[in-house]
Parts: sequence; structure tokens; C-alpha cells
Amino acid sequence: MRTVLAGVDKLNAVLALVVGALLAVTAGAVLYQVIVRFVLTAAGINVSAPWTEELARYTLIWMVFLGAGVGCRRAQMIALEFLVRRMPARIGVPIRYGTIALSIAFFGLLFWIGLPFVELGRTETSPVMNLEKSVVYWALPVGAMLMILNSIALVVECTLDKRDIRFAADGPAAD
Amino acid sequence: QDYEMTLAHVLSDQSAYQVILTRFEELVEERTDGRIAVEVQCCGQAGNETRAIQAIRTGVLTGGFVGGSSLENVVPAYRVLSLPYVFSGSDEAYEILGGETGREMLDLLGEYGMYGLGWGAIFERSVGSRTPVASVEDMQGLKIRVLPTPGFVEAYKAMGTQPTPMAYGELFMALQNGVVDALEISPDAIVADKFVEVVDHYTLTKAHQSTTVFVLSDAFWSGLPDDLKTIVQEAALDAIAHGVEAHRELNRAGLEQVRAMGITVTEPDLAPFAEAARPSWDVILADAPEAQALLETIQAARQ
Amino acid sequence: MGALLLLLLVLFTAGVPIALALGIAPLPTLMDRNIPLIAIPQVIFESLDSFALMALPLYVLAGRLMQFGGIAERLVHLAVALVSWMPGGLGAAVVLTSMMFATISGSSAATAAAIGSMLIPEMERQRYPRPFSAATTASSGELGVILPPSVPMVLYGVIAGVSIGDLFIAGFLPGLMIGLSLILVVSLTAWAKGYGKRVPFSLGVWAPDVWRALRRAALSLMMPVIILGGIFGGVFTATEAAVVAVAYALFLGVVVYRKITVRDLPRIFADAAVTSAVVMIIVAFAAMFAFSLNVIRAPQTIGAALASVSENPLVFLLLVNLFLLVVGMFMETFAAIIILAPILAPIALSYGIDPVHFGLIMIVNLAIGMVTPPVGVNLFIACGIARISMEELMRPLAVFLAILVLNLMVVTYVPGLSLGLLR
Ligand code: NA
Ligand code: NA
Repeated sequence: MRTVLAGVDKLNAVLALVVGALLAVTAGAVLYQVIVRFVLTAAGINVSAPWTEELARYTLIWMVFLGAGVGCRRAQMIALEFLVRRMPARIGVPIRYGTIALSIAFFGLLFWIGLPFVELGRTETSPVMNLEKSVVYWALPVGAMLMILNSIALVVECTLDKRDIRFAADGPAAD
Repeated sequence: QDYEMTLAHVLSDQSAYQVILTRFEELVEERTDGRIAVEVQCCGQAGNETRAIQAIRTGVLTGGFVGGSSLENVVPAYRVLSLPYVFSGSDEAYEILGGETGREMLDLLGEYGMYGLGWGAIFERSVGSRTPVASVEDMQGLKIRVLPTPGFVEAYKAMGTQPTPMAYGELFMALQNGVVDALEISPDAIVADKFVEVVDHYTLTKAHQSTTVFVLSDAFWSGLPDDLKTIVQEAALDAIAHGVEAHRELNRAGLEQVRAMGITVTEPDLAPFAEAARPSWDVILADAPEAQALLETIQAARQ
Repeated sequence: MGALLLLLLVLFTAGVPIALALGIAPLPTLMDRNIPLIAIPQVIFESLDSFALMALPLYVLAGRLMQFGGIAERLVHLAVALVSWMPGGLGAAVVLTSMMFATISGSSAATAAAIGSMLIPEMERQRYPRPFSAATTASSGELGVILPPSVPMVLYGVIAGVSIGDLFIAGFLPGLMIGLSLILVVSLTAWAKGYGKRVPFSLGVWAPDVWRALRRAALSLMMPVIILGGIFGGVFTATEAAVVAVAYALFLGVVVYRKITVRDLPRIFADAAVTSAVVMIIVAFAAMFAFSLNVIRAPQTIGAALASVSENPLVFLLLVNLFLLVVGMFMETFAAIIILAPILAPIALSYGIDPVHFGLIMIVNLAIGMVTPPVGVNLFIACGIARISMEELMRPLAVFLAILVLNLMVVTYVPGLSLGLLR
């Protein structure tokens, strides 16, 4: 079990880098747009980069779904937890497991409706880059899969470590 | 009441879309004795056009008005519509799309889960700018915001301008601050969206005749009995005829308003513009053999 | 509508992540109306496919780079040099640094964390009580989202369809006012209670100190000039300004100050990306929720109900403020804006309230929520740094909260404060 968990975390470590790289691509594309508009034009160089915005938007969509997927590993998804945290463990802990089960079921639904959406995307192309939109739409089922995997990993870890799952999110504060 | 139709569009409740759809609502409810109830949702309440088309294809939404340039991303053949100067002007575009060729094009939607009821108002797009554009030479190096699709970007590149990507919502400020020099836009919109305050010239270059389409979800359409189909189809065409007339009036009023605001309106000789734009055709149609075939049909119809 | 909202509330209180609760609650409504579930991805992709929304991760990233890149540190030194002669000088420096940092960072938590971790220990050395230091840090941190740039303003602008640049400009004077009033409170309290070391003012010491700090911070101070100048001048969109901020912060942090090494970058980018992703996924599902509200015509119903209470916009604003203060106590600011802006903004518009002004009211109000118990991100950060409990913080915090609410009332009922700088 521990080795499986370690494998999942290796995957998450790689995905975290991917997610950071996606943000870097987004930033790079927008920066290029600014440079084209202000620097190159001022220098009299005539280029047009209509693809920057589209590329930035699509990489960002992937960043959101993969990033949220990675976030599930440490229960980083923002929630109103103060009530559950203040309850006695014998009530609060089952509620927490119940919400995780519900979340996993919802991720399953997202995966399941994500597939026909990808199918729809096969007959759509992006206006500028002429990209098949399914390339973007895959972010949903892939992200949903990752969220399921990481939610299970969190439960398994808390069970193995005999930790109170309600406090699994405690770590550095998010901004 | 047996059927409910929710029809959506992204323009304002003063637009040609709204005029056509509310007339359609009246006609259908009257001619079916209320067997079909119609609800019109304006202003993008049902999402942007990309989502509206998805919703129509999947039966989430009954139908609505969408731009031909949005349908291009689903129906490759429609790319032909964003070729610059593919029609000599809006009159010719109305005539061809209103005829047999237009119906053939609407039938292409079937493959993508949609049914086309008819072509709506056509938005003739020309160049509004801070500096005068009397000839195609004046377009050289002009930083212009165009609709972000290859049909527009390539066309304006070919005419020597520098198409600059920019969200429509940011465009007013950008023109005011000289971040861009020009935009391409129809006469009614340049007034409605207040660009008349930030440009000094409006040159009737008429490169694109932006089409609009009244589409229904095929799932809804094929579920209608034949008698209702006939009523819906006829009501759509009647409503469109009414709306197109209103739109022409809006256009005339728009141009008048533009002139009244002290903006120089120029009507240049279009031949040099068309000639300069022509090389973009091959680029725009490069990956769309369907559009190539359709182009031949349209050119045959133009004779 | 009752059932939909009740279900949402139950899911929230049970601790279901906000994003998922917003996605799950509409399901019965959609099924009841026979709306195919493929509407879900259609709606969430539409909401994420936005150029303006891109400003959010970029400002989060810029904030991280400034925090770790030595920029925050230089601003702290400058502020200390500027105001340390005042009664409660170090406390005033916390507010002043927060104001400076706020003009380059879009987040309150980042502001509170960056400044608190440097100044709370220093305040302790100068014999300020820790709860007072923490309360100062937590409350001045809220300026991070009021002074431009601001991530919540990006969210509000995207959701309500208002120019983000306009919101940024509108936040300037209210932010200034709140900052100055906080300095006043800190200084008066410290003077009355004798907190902190009193340094007599001497121009001969002050001027060279400030000059040294100014020279060290000069390049960092270029940051607000670039960002705000670009937005005020209308040269950049908010998204473009954000990317320029990222580029400049990278340049300062990596090349000039050398506080960030290239090897740190993957982690900084990944952290910023995950932090942004968990907020943006809420945006996505909030669109889903708004879609279901629209299906049952809820905004119209709520609007009519409010209108039946009073047709006076001033009363409406009072009700909204009370409601938001309560919401802000329990709910995280981003989530509250994402959920409530699409409902409240159109209603405010129907009362004839300027959408930019209303956005400011929402943001100033929900920023207070970051400083109100039981859920307040700035409180968590400040308590963490000062190593005190929430209960210890309450007494000194009360004065600050009173002042913040007073400011909120001024922002609400003096629209010119927000709209004055806009043409
Ligand atoms: Na800020
Ligand atoms: Na709070």
C-alpha cells in the first residue's frame, strides 16, 4: 500500500511541475503578446500574434484541472471546514468521510460526462490555431480521474497513519 | 401547449436578432394557437456563441441566432463566408444566401446536430480608424483589431495591416490611447458601442459580409410533427424578412449618425482592396476542402 | 429555489469543497428540468475560457515572486525608515508597508504573510504586545485586495462584466483612506497604551535613513509605477499588467537581487499554479450554479423580493452590506465573490447603482471578512506568525474591525470616492 502511495506521490510531483510549466507557458504567451504590441511595433517590426491569447487560455484550462487534481492530494480544495473541525471526532470524522465519498462520486460523474464532451470537441476547431477542441476538453476527464485518484490516496494515507482526516489540509496557508 | 422553445442570442434586446426572434415568437404562438411556446433569451444569458452552439447541438438549448463566423469552427465549409470580398456587397450576399445555395448551406448543419431555419441579417464590416484610409496604401502597417479568426486575420494581413489581437471589451480604451489605430466593424455597432467617440474616419471597405444564422437543435426539429414544422419554417422566414428590413434601417441610421458625429465617411474604389486581399483566400481555405467546393458553388451563383 | 439553496447550504456546512458543492447542488434541478448533463462541461469550459481570468494566476505568481525575491523586504525597510519616529511607529510601518506591497500584490494573504513574517518579530523586540501586532498585520493585510491590483477585482470584473482596469482605479482612493485611518488607529493606540520604543524625531537621522532605504528600494518601487501607470494610462489590460509584473518581479528576484535561484522557479510556479487552480475551479462550478439559478429564474425572484422590501438604493446597500458581513465571517472571500457577484450585481444595477462602485463595496466588505472570525485567512496567518490563539487576538482586533466597518460605510455611501478617478 505504501509503495502505491509513493507511486501516486511521484506522479503528483511530476504533475506539479507540469502544472507550473503550464502557468509558465500562459505567462510566456501573454508576455509575447505585450512584447509584440509595444516593443516590436515600436521597432517597426510588423508581426501579428493572434495565437497568443488562444494558447494562453487553453494551457490555463489544463492548469486548472490538473492543478485542482493535484490539490486534492492534500485536501487543498477550499471548503468551509470550521464546523466539522469543531465537532467531536465520532461525528465529525464520519461526516468528513461522507463528503469525500460524495466528492468522489461527483468526480466520477464529471469523468463520465467529460467523455461525450470530448467527443463533441472532435467536431470543433479553435478559431485561430485551428486546433481540435477535444485537445482542450480532455482536461476534464483527465482532471476528474486525477481527483478521484488523489482523494483515494488521501483516505488511504490517513487510514494507514491513523490520522484524523479532518485536519489533513493543515499546512501552509493558501492565498 | 405541446412544445417549448428557448431561443438565445448574444446581442442586446435592441438588435436585429431580438427583432427577428420576438417576431418569430409572435408568429409561431399565433399560427399554432399556442401549441408551441417560445421564450427569447437575449444578451448572452445562455452563454457565448461557442457554448450556445454546443448547447444547440446537444439539445440543451432549442435554438437561437448565431454568427456564421462562430459556426465556422464547427462546420468547416462555412469558412468560405469569411473570405474577404467573396460577395460584392450585402445585396448580393442576401440574394445568394436567400436562394438555393443558401438552403444547401443550411442543410450542411444537419451533420452536426443542427437544423438551419434561415440566414438572418448581414453585418457589413468596414474600417473605422484614427488616420484616414483613402486607399489600400493607407492600410500599410495599420494596427487594427479584427475578429480573431483566420478569415479576418489573414485578409487584413494580406491588405498590409497589422492585425492586433484584443478583447472587444478592451478595444475602446485601446483606440483612445492609440494602442491600436483601427477596428473593423459594422455601421450600427460602431454607433451602439460608442466607437464613434474614438475614431475620426470610417472607410466603407466592406471586406466581410458577416452572416448570421437562425438555427435549431436537430433533436427538437426532428421531433416536431410535419404541420408544425411547416409553420415554424414559414414563421422563421417571415420574421427574418421583417428583421432584415429593420436591420437595413438601423444601418442607414448608423451611417447617418456616424456622419453627424463629424466622422469622415469615405467610399473608396474597392477593386484594389479586393485585389490586395485575394492572396489570403488560399491560406484561409488551406485545410478546408469542403469550403473550396462550396466556394465554387457560390461563384457559380454569382454569375 | 429554496430547495436548491438549502442543498447548497447543507453541502457547505458539511465541509464539501465549495467548488464541488456548487457543482452538486444544481444536479437535482437540472434533472428535474430534463436538461442534459452535458450542459455541465459546456458551462464550466465557457467560464474558464477567458482572457481576463488569466490575470488571477499571474497576480498570484507575481505575489510569490515579490515575496521571495527581496522586494517585500526592501519595502519594509523603506516604510520603517519613513514612519518609525511616530508613536507606534513600527505598527504604522506595518500598515504603510502593506499599502506599498498592496500596490504590487493582488492578494491580502500574501500581503499579510510577507509583511507579518518580517515585522511581527521586530515589533515583539520593541515590546509591542503580540496580539496587537497580529491584529495590525491582519487588518492592514486586507489592503492587498483593495488597492490595485487585486485578484478579487479580477474575479468580480470577469463575473459582472465590468472593466477590471476601472475597478483597479476605483480601489485607489478607498485603499488610501483605509490605510491612513489604520495608521491613525495604530498610532493613537500605541501612544495611549505606551506600546513600542519612542524615538525622538531628528531630521538629521531620518533623512539619510530614508534616502538609503529609498535607494535600496528604488527598483522595487518601479513595480507599482509600471503596473499602475500601465493600467491608469490604459496602455495595458489587467492581464497584460499582471504578466509585466511577473516578468519584472522575476528580473528583480533572479537577476538583480539574486534572492531567487533558477532552481527555485519550478516550485514557485507550481505553488502559484495549484493555489490558482483551486480558486479557478470554484469559478468554473459557480458558473454551473449560476446556470441552474438562471434556469429557475432565481435572480429575478430575489431581485423582486428585495425590491418589495425597499425601493431605496441606500436601504438596499445597507442590507447587502449586513448580508455580506455575515457571509464574510464564514466564507472565503474569493468563493463569496464568485457565488454572489452574479446574483447581486444585476440587482444592484436595477437599483441604479454603478457596477464599478458596487464591485468596490463588495470587495471592501468581503475583505473585512478576511479579518473576521471564525474564518478569516489573514487572522490565521497573523496568529500563526505571532504564535497566539484566535481568542487572544480578539480584544485588540475589535478596534480595527470597528474602523474597517466605518470605512466600509464611507465607501458605500460616498460613491465619488470610488468613481472620482474614473472619467
Ligand atoms: Na493590491
Ligand atoms: Na471571516
